[in-house]
Amino acid sequence: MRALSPAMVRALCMVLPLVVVAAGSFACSTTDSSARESAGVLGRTTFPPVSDVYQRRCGSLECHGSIYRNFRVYGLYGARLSPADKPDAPVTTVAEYDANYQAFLGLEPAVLRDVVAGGGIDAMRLTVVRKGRGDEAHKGGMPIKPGDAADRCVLGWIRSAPDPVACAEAVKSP
Amino acid sequence: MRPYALGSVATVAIVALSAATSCMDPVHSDAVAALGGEAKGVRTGPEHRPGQPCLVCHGGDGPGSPEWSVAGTVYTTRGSTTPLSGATVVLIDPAGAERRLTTNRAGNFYIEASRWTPTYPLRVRIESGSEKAEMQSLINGVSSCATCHRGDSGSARSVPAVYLGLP
Repeated sequence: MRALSPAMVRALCMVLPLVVVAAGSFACSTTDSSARESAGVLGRTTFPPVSDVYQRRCGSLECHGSIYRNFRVYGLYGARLSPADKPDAPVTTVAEYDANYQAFLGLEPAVLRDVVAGGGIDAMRLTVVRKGRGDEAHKGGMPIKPGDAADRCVLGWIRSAPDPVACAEAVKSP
Repeated sequence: MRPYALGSVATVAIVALSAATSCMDPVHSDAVAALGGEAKGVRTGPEHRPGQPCLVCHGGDGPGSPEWSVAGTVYTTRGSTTPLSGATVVLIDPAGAERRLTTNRAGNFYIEASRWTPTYPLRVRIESGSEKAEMQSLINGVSSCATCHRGDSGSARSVPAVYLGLP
């Protein structure tokens, strides 16, 4: 192999760092940390009543109020997002509804997008729905029974037909 | 000792050591160790370790026996260390069936897993005389009260020890 001339070595020493820096900056520029999943038409504005149902039925501290759950639910009487808040006060904050919304959408974003695009008919494809109804192994049992108010609330929202009356009823019982 | 005999002894020793250590769960062992020793003057029994997460030891993995399905401690008021004895803890399963347990002198209550393994979620109500209070959230699967109910003031991830509110 032919040895590099001193001039070529100097040139390489000047160019290589630039190449490394450029590569590094491109490598880090592909992820936008502020990007959020939208999952089609499921609205954040109509989510709070659904979130309240998940808080009531699933969000106790030892269950989905635990940081060890993928589907983590924050809010009144459960885990709080702000270290300054406590389970019994204040009421669920906007930041907590945001966090719960992102947690729901982030579980199976691709499947959720398909389900929403199909009008929510295939909602059983969603693990969160199957587990809540006890159709799939779930340590917390069956907190949402097929056809009950919580079920109508969740499925209504997924079908882009929110049912706040059912949601309100579900929070009051059991 | 002949070489093959030494090899046999070593093999047996390795197998025995593996068997002895294979069933140890370091997470569980750490959880048990974190509870510390017995309080001075309190004998092991129904009144020991009030306020601790009972099912760490009595949840089936030992070292406590018998195994319980639900257990905890009730105090008189928020932040108090005075046990509420003689109170009734009512556990209600999704079908509406009730189990009624009574707190002892230490405020402790428990039920053996062999007598009742609940279907979750559970609702809980505490009664004492004319006083009644229902837990605001459901129990969805972990039945040691102290898993979530710890200390006197609570935090973003815990609530105060269980109390009824009697003065």
